[in-house]
Amino acid sequence: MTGWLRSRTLQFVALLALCALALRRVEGLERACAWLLAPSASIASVLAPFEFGREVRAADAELEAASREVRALYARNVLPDEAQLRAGRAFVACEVVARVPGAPDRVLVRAEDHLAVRVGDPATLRGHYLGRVAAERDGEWEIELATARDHRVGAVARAEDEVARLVVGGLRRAPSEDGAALLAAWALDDHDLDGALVRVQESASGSAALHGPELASAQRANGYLLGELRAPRRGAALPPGVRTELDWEHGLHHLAILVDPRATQDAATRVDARDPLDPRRWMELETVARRAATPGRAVQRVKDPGQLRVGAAVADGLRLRGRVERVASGVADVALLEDPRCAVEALAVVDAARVVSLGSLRGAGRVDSGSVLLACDVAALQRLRAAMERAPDASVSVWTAGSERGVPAALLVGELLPQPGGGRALRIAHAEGTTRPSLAWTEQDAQSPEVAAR
Amino acid sequence: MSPVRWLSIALFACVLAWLALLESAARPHLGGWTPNLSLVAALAVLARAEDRDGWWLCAALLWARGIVAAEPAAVVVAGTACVAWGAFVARGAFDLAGPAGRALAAALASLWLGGLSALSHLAADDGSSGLAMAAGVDALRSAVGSGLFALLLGGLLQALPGLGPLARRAA
Repeated sequence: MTGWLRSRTLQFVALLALCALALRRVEGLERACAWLLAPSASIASVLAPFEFGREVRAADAELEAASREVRALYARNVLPDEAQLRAGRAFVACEVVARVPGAPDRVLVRAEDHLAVRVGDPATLRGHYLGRVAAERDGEWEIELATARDHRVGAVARAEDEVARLVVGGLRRAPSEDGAALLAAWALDDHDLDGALVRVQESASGSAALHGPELASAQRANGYLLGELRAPRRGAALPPGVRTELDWEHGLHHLAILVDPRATQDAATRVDARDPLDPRRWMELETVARRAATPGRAVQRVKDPGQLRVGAAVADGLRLRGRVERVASGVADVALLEDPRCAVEALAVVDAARVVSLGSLRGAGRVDSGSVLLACDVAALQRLRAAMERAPDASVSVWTAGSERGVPAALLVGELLPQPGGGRALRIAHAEGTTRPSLAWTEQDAQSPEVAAR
Repeated sequence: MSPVRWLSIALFACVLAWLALLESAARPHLGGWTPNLSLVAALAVLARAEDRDGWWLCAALLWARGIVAAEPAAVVVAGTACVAWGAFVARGAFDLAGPAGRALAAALASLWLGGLSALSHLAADDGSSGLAMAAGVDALRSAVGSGLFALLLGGLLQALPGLGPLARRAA
């Protein structure tokens, strides 16, 4: 009866079908195969009761201090340099933790002084206006950016003695080759001010929709920069807009909310809402395979203690090693920093004093046992080169920016090394194959079962 | 099946798992040239195994691959099943236990697994074509490494103590 099972032709066809279905990633088959492979992790744990050369060192005190300084620098970096933009205002520094799913023009932030923040308060970055607080969600604040379609803010364009009023909001053109985006300008009453600086100017007469405390909140951002007016003559094909050089997609990692000065006793200028030095946020991982045998990849396999989430940072002390890529059947794959599937938002700190946004860095392979290549976009490279031209001998270290779920700010990615020939990749000092146990960052969010159950 | 045979199969599974762990520890140092140690050992034993032990030996190989393979689970299972089936078919026509046969079989099997991995990157359709290229290059290197390892040390793996009851098939 089972003789047909012995037919080599049928077996061959069945295997071909299995391969085809596997490559098409059929979900049911994937689940069944993951179940079939589930004993692997247990076998590895039983047969490798200790890790060769495992080393547990005391916490790296120097790195902890550096991480603390970097966080303080991030927080200071959100404040404006101009004295008139600071005068009479109270700032609460915030850390961006994610974009709102399905709404790229809204970011979720965690504020250091949560109680001081109110819906409607403006959000700023240095001297730039970003948007305003739209809602609260499970202990996080949702900021609607000025690029959102329905966002509107009163503004003035000023050039020498001439002044024009306008309303700004929504994205007219996504960032072009020069890295600048164009915000939409509405109700512009003077088209002769092309090139004038546009600043927020909310007033009782101009904001019919705002009254009382809402208007007072909005007016705290008066004077903050929106960009440079692009005002073609009437009837031109391109309607007026405001050119902004902020990197709205990858440059928003930390920001300040202008709160009512009476609501906070002290300007909260720290970003410790997700403190990487908090040991309760880290869990130790048991390694199954130090390096997976998958061609072209740099993946470490670990046991899943049950709380690992895709995207979580995996570190050795405060050094970022990679991010969780996949969790299935009790094991998790960690894409190491040099792996092409590992991407992380990062910032460069130049001479421990200046911060340059690098956007998303993606693994581009290992150069040698002490360094890796990380690819970044052209605009970020230009920003970094410009910063380094001003200080050619400066030391540059690269740190996580923290604006992603699962990755806290100020984990060390590595020191920047000279890259002969330039190219679109950064060469970062990053030692191969640590023997210290890996730690994974744990984080709750609105999608966590614990939070959803509340 | 006799207890001795069961013991041999368990020992075989342990050997493959240890080789997989050794392979994962060596990979940071050898990179793409790291041989598929567990695969080479499995092919060396499969060449002399009886048909009735086939399923258990395949399961042991599958679990050993499951320790170190980070491809989607279905790709791991399909690739390993093809290798095991191919080995059973090929040993009827060629001597897979001899140095040349086992080296060639190990290189081809390693190339197949690496190629399937590269194909899975391409099929993912998420801009991984560069990754597929890198995976293809690594697959070639791994095939060379595996072939050399099988040529030089395959005989030793066949003669590991405790695996004798599994190698009773006439050459």
